Amino acid sequence: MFELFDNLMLGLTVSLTPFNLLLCFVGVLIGTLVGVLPGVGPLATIAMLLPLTFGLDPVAGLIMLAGIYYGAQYGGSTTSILVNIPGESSSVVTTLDGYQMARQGRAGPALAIAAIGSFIAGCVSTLIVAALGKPLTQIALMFGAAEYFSLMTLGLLFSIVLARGSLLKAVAMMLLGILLSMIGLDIETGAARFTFGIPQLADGIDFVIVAMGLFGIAEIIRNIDDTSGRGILAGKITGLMPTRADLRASAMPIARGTLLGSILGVLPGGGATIAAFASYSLEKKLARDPSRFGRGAIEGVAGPESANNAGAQTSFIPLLTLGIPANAIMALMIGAMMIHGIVPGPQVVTSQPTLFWGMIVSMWVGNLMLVVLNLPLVGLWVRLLRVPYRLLFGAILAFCCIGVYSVNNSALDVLMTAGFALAGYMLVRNGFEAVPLLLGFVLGPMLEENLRRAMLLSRGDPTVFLTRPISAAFMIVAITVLVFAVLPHIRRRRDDVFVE
Amino acid sequence: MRGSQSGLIRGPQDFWSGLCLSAFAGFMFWKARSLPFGNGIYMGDGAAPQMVAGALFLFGLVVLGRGLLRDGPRLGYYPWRGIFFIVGSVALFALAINMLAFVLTTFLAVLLGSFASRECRPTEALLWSAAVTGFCTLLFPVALKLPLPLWPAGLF
Repeated sequence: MFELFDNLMLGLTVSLTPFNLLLCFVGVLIGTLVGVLPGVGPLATIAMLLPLTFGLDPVAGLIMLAGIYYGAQYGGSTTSILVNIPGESSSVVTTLDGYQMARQGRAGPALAIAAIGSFIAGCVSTLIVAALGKPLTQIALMFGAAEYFSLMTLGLLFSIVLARGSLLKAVAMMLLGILLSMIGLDIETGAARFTFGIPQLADGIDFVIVAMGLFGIAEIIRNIDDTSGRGILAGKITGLMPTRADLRASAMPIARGTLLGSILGVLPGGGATIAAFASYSLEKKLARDPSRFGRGAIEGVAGPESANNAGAQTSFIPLLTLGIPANAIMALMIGAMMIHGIVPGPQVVTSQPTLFWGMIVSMWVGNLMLVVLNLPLVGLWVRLLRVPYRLLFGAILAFCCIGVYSVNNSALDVLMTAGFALAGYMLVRNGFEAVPLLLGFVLGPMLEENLRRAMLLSRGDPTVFLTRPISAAFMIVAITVLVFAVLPHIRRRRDDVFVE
Repeated sequence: MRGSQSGLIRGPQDFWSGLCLSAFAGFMFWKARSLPFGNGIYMGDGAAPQMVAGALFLFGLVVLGRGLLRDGPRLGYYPWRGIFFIVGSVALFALAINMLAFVLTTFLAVLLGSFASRECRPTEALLWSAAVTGFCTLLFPVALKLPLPLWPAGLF
């Protein structure tokens, strides 16, 4: 307990230096600014703003990135409430009641309760991350190759099951991602794989290229001619503060959302999004009058907004303790850490305590800044939304190009981004989801390395994944998840047959 | 959008995307064949690529097959103008950056990209591209000191 306190103090001393505080603020501010823009989710925002952190030392750079992350998430909720455009998948639910509240002239309270709920969830989940971080790294240190392989298999399965649309197509996308990650020199033998004689491909394709192509540029193509639903509320936002009744109605949803989000966030495969959906349906089920939901019920904003923030925060746990990303954004954070010369994993907490605890505490500081500084700026964000998209996307385009180019100063990287954008757009248009591809791409090399190591250690015995207890537990969960995912598909298909 | 196509292909989206995936996977599998597979204990550097490419090939075939057997959505409308100018703008940035350096490349890329929107107005696009270029120049090479040459060598 005292150790936890000491560690948090260490974190505070790191994150409260004037310079780091300033970076956290700038990160939160720019993150919100870009996150508010329609069609730019946190993923594209982080990828775009990555070069901003290049010149900083690792701790400062990651503090700023974390700030950008929370800011972008917050920006996403703002657009959900004000313009009915979810900035990202985890604030989709917020549009249901948040936008209705805004239409009833209660945009102010909706925004305020979203921020307050997020802040409370942020406080609690920061403590959870801090408390669980150390013990979990102890467990993680016992993991062998077989455990890592099984855990990553589980994570990939989650990402497939949680993807929208066809399960089959999600598996195909994951395989495509793994296949693309194999381009470059083999880690063990140094043999060139799929490099086609191009020397720049020897290091493999950079993660930023894939993310920017699939989520940055492809999004612009998707948004360019879409002028629907851009009905910005004309009226001025008056009365930011929620009433006492609002607060009383929101207290329990915030508490439940925080708890739910903290648990679901740790699960691999898109924690924040399911957390928000789960919280919404829970609140609707518990409500005395469920018909109010979808018509501007404040519980429908308070619960999911707390849940997605808690989930966003606790999804750092697998990243910081195991070095395994729980979702696409965490995958990008791995990429960012690598650029700063840090290999995420259980060794970070002991080898770089200032980085580990500084980052955790700065999560909390970032959340506080969002409430104190960003809420009064809502008027500014609204004005930003009035800038027509035909102008905005030019700036986004420039940021994406410069962002990719500045990672390696390589023109080929930018050209490949164009290719990924084209392919990504085509795939999404044909019902394929990009998230499993991205996760497969990030986990691919680790998956292969651990598989090879596990096979070597077990003298070629594939049952090693089932005979080691922790590994077996992961595999059993993975199989259960898969079975549950496939069952309703079969049932639905049968229903279809009956209807026809 | 259920396709009530006559002919063999009942779900064009599934059919064509499955075909593309299988073709790509087949090509990658063919490329990976020259890498050693190894054995159960020492997996070679070709083992995983061949397995993954093979699996993707099969999944592509299943998607393709579904396009033949089940009615599905048509290919639909593609915003070719947007695709052309936006992908083109990124490609232009890639091709020009080593020759024209930061300022001119950014300006041209943003300008070309502007035409992706049907609401594009040429004068406005020119002014806006200049403004974005100015902002990016001040931000990345100047304020953040990223090592990006501003002008082509020998221009000034």
